[in-house]
Amino acid sequence: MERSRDIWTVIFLFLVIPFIVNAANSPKSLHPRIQLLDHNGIPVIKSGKPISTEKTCGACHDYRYITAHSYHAQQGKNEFFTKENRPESLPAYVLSPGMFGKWCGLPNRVLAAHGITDVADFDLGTPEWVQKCGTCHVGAGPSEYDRNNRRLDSVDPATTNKFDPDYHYVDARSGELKSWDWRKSGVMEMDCFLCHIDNFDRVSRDQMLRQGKFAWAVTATLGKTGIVQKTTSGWTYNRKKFDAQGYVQCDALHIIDPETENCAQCHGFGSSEREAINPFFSKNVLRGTLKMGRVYSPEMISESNLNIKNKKELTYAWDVHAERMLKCTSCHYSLNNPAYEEKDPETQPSHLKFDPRLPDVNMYIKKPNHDFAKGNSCPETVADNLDNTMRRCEDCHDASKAHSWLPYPEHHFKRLGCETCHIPDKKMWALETADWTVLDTDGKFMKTFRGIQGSIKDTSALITGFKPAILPRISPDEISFYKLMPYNLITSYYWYDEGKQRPVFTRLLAKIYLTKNSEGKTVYRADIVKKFDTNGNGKLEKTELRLDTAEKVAFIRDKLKELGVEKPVIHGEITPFSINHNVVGTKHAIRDCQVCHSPDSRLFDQMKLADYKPANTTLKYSEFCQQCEDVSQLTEQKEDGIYFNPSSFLKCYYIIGHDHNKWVEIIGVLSIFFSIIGVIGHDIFRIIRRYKR
Amino acid sequence: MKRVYMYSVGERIWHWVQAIAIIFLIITGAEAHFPGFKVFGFTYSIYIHKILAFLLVLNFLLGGFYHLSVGTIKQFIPRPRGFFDGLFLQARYYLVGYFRGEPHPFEKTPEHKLNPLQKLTYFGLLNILLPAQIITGVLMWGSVYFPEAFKMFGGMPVLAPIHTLGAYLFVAFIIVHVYMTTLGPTPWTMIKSMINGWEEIPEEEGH
Repeated sequence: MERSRDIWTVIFLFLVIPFIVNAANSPKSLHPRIQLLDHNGIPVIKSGKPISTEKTCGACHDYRYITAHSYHAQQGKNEFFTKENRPESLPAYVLSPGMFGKWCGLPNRVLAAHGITDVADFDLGTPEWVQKCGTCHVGAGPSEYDRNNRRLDSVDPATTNKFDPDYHYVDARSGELKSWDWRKSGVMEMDCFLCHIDNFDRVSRDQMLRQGKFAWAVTATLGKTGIVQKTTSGWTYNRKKFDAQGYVQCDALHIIDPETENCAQCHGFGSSEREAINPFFSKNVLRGTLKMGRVYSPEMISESNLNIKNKKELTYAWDVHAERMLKCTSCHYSLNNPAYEEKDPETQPSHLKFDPRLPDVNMYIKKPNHDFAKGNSCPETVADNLDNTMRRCEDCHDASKAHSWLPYPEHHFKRLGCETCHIPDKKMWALETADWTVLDTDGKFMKTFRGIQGSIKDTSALITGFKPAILPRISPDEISFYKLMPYNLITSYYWYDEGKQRPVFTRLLAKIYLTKNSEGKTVYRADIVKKFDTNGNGKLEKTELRLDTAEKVAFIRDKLKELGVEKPVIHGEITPFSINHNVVGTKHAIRDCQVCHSPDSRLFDQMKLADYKPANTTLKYSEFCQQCEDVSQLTEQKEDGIYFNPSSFLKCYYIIGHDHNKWVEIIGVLSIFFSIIGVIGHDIFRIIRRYKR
Repeated sequence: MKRVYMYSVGERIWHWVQAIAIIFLIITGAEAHFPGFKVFGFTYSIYIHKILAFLLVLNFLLGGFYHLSVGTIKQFIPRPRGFFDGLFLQARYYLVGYFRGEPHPFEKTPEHKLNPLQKLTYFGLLNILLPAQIITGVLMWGSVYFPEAFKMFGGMPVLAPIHTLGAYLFVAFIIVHVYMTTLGPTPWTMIKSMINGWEEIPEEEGH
């Protein structure tokens, strides 16, 4: 009997195993095989030239359409300000609302504009932008076309204007303006693979950019697929992966819809599976994490390999949406994706419950909109015309059904963003200060982080996390006026030339602070060491590299003047970065009313801005999303640094349990006091009278 | 002593509903205002406050309708003629005459229950303080339903302090009011009359 059962088991396995093996080997992608072509339309396996996505992907998808509108590709290049549309609040050195043209206190670089006639006014040219910013730029846009919409590699640099910012750069060593030959470097076409394959090689891509081999960047992204191989001279193609016509099978490329990992390359730590988030190996993957402490992952924080305070108690995912298998594109979807088609009820006949006319899928495949639904994160300004196109919390969740315990739910929903309670704190570090008034030996700003005791590169440093600052923000729903939302505040200090009305270029600061020693290593200049080395150990420590006295400020200011800066002053700017990720579920959200409605209201928590403020520096709050005109009372000097104090921001609110009007309390208490005194006095006389009788 | 049917059932219900609502509104309001003060807990006190507030508004409207329809509303309206003399007489009685055993300057009858001092107090209470509490409370509650009106009145920074001040004044009123009810022939006489409607009045008491 047992023998017969064994035979049947073997037969069963014999029949089933091939199906399992076949299923395991089946392609992950439905995408058909692809013929990888070069810029001339010749299969790369024959030409050996870099892959052109314009020719390869563009064979089926409208490359021109995609790259012309996508704000990920254009980065503001298609939104350059003109005299007519420049917002009055923006200075002249801000050329566009996107990262190509916008000035920001973190990179502290000024994109050179057309019309410059002196190298002293030239900071960042397009070639250098692609080289340094291209790591987080998907390609196309400014990496492919100049500001006159000529393909960059089609222009002879000899024919360009001497200061044309698209064809020149300032050599960091000599400080001279040099011409860039795009015909040699090639252009970086839109790197479709960066977002549409799951085994992208961002490090190799980055290397190509740094080396100025822009045309090879897209090819290098395939570095982990086995299709391409790195050689000493460049990249070659692996013939085994190609068929006779130069096609590669889709399972070699793993073409996919973008996963969280694809977006996380630029937008902060993220994963779609319960893999450990490890920031220490993600040198370039900091952007979203750096600014807001963002981690988007289903990994349990308690299972993280990071040294997080009270980690064992944090038995929930970094983000509840990631845990529930939502990926970035679930909310930030393509705006013409038929799956997310939503009819405008105002334009639909009222009797029509369902409209079966869905957008044509073929049209979507041919022309997929690469403008993704977005919110309105402060201080991001690119493609503002698409603000609030994404679904907000309330578009998916019926909050009224999950908040029956909450008194006055409508009031809370109108005045608080869901994030305020559902992102009670961040279990990650984030940037606190970017101090460009001094430089580290890498030529970058000195920085401090909040939420970590020690360096972010130190695996043993304790991550304490931080509580976001709560600020009022104009709500997309105008009826609500302002909503209180969580933010990370980053303070930046930088030198500003009041004569030329623009930030001082970093290369001038590098001249003041840094030099090369005999070994070719970048070190601080001797006079800088002498000035800042307060403990006299011959080295400059983080706490020493500060312009915390008027004397030190004057020292650097004089040196800047010697280098031609007319009126150098220090600007201090506080930028709020809105926090919308690391959402926690009901169980871990704020449910205790007294967290806000008490004298220790969480809404009034102060956030440390910086360890110090350079002498005689006035702090201003950048833009602040048009929320508040009077920000003079927002900062408070304490012994250990300067703090953000939201009290004056919250004046327009009256937080029950926290706010008391002094005069009302005095008059009220006095009225009760005199009532009691009157009653007691009268009663005493009554008692006396009774005894007299 | 004579027994007079002083308060009708309607008046007594109106009074006690109002009294209970106001007392619990003060307690729950105090819980929200002073989070260290705990009776029902913050969340429940907010719910109770809202429910009682609507009960008070309803009682206010029904009471107004009742007094208007049976005509007792006129008892609450001070008449100009001799009003200030009466006010002085009544104040003098409480401060001096009461201790000397002088008779009450005004005879209390079912048709004239209130002396001039009470008329002034209730006039302010029912026409200013209570409506102010109701209006500020409704505006705060309705800020999401009629935000423009809420904003027009200055929003929470204006409405909430007014509401709080009103609450303090109510507490002061209740202290004095409760004490005054003990100034009858016996300390419980007036309280009992507001329970069963019958009040004992000295026969010789006059005007």
